[in-house]
Amino acid sequence: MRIAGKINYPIQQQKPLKENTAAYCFIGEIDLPKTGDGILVVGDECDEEIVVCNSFDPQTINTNNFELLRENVSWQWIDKQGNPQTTNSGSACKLQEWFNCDSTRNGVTYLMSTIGNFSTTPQTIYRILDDTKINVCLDTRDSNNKKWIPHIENIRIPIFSAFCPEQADRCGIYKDFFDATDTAIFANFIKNKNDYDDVIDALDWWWEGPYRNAKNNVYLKNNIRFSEGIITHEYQHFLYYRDSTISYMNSSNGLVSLKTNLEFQRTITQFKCPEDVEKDPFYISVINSKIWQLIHEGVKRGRTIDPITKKDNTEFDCDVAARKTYDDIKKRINVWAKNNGIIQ
Amino acid sequence: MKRTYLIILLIISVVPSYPQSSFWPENETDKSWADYFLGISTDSLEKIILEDQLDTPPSYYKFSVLNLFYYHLDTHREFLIYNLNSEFVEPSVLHADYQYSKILIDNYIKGLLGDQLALIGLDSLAKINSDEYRQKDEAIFLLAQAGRFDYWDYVKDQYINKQNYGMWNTFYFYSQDPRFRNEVLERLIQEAESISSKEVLKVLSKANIVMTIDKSIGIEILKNRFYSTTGNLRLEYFRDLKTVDRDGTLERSIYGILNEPIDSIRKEYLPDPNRIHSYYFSEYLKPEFINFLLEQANTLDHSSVTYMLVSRYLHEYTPAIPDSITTTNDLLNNLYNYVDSVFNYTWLGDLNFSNELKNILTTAKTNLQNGDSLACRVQVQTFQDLVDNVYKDSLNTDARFVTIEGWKFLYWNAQYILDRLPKP
Repeated sequence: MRIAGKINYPIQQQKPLKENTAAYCFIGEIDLPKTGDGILVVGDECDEEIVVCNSFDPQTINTNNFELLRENVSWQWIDKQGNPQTTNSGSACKLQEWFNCDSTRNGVTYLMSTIGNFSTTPQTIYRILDDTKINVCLDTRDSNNKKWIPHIENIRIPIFSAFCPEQADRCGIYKDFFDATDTAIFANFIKNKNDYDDVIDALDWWWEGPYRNAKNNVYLKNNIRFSEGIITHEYQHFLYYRDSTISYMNSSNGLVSLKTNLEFQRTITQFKCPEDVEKDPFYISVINSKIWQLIHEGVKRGRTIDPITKKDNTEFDCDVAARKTYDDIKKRINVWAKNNGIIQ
Repeated sequence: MKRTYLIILLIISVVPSYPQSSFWPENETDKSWADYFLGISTDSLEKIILEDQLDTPPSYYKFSVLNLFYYHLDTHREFLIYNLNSEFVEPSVLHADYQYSKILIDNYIKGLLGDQLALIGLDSLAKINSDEYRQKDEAIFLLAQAGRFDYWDYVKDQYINKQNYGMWNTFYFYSQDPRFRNEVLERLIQEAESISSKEVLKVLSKANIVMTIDKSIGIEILKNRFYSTTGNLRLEYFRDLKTVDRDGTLERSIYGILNEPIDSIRKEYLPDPNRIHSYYFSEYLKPEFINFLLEQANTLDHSSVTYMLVSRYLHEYTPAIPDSITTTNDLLNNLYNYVDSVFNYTWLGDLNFSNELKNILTTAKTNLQNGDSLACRVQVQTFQDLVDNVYKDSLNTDARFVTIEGWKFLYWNAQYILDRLPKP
């Protein structure tokens, strides 16, 4: 008995696929000729054309499979019934939001396995892999054991990465210079050399980074921030998650297992037609479970856990990545301060 | 193994104890997996866990457990404690992979609830007689987080020989055990050395990780890069070192200024003249550095930006303002030493004059030690006036003289002391 059916989990029946665009396959004959061992694949009994696999190269993913989301952006997809759907990332900074003010969190980056649950208005929930398509081709290399091999189309990996000011603002009023291109902000906050020194002290603090400053017990004074730097920091987390996931999913433990592991193959005696495999809810969930695990493990590898603090040491790397942004911000502030006679 | 595991499980289950502290921190991404079953009833989630059907999609068990943990712990703590007991199977069993995933999530959650049984459950995974199961690696990592370092040979073999980078965090954690610390450290140093200096982020990242085990070695890695590179690359290492090895900054500044031929890069080794009075590197305001800049000013091309900044710095600096924890007595000692330094740099002429100044400070110190801060103040004021007068009277034929540098160090440091002493 499949409990998935009982709990009304949204596994939709797949529509029979009308075409197979898997790069590794070719559109074969609908009625294949008898092979030497006398097995005939009868195509006209199936809604979908049977495609014979002609390449067994491992499936890979690349940067195009990743999508970076910010707060309150829409997300579209085609559901399993073929209907276009839309939802919204909403206030996704709220995931594991910090409530006390012992320390502040200025941004967050995480794998967004569901989209829509942070929206303030009721939204359809998108669950990761909801819009993937499984295409199978027939592996006829062993004529006594012809089997369906999967290829997964449209793997989309949404990663939320954003500047999240809410908790920090609740714990202290921040002056935000953003990317230091708005001279009105300068004029408002930098009236003299002392103000300038305060801003540059804060900028130097951010340049060194929260990770190193925490280690040195140096705390940010004056509650000044430059959110463009925080965005760059978070973007580096995104790059780490993306690259570690690509690396893992393309490794020998990754997507290749879908083609090599018997768990993900079905024989032609089990399923006569491609659409029977492709729309089988259990098969879909077995494949999805594997891809979930691969994505989860891949993202996890984008972190380095400090054995003592148990915190992520890549925070330091992301601070370093943001330094260029802070250098640019400093240049802009200095130009303005010179032009306004605050410094020489 | 299965029978042993069950017997231990039954014996310990008779007297369960659930301390509050977790064996490992929550994995942040798990919350998002729990969200996957948002809105599903707890009855359905319980069923998935209890019915344990092989045809249940493999991830559903994990999602159900996580959902109950994150969203229904107040009502389902006991349920989780008593029902997360997936049975161990040998690797030869067809559904072993699925079963191992369940055992892993069972014991991960139990560990979060502080249940000692979690360690036994994870040990069963760690001892799987095959390295094909990722659950084995994850179990060993969780055990390491709980301070159990019993699988070193496997961890080392996987990470070093089999390039299983999924074992990276585990390998790193084993540095916490003194038996393996040096071996982990040596490997990390080797990895750091193999990275090209051009890959600054990677070098800094690896050096930072080394620093978490041995700070001085991590700093050495960065110093080696600083001294073995040139141009902008060297500058990158210089700037990062400022944040972890402040004491060595002055020395590296001097090295950079002396060795960097490109003016636009060389100027970056100088302190910012706009930030003299708020600059947190007081070393840049010591006589040694000022003397170095004076020497450089004589050799630098006068049209260079470096020269302009040096000149401006020399013109505008004043000695560092002492921090509040330095005692007045220490300030008097420092000023006494400054007289010697200033004399040695020939910013002050005539040994008798130098001795005269030092004698005044000796008297001031005696006054202070006797509790007479007013008399001390008079002496320091006398010292300051004398320095000021000799500096201003530069046209006399007297052997005594004070240059602008000498005046700055002696006059201002005397002033910092006066600011501390009560006025009559």
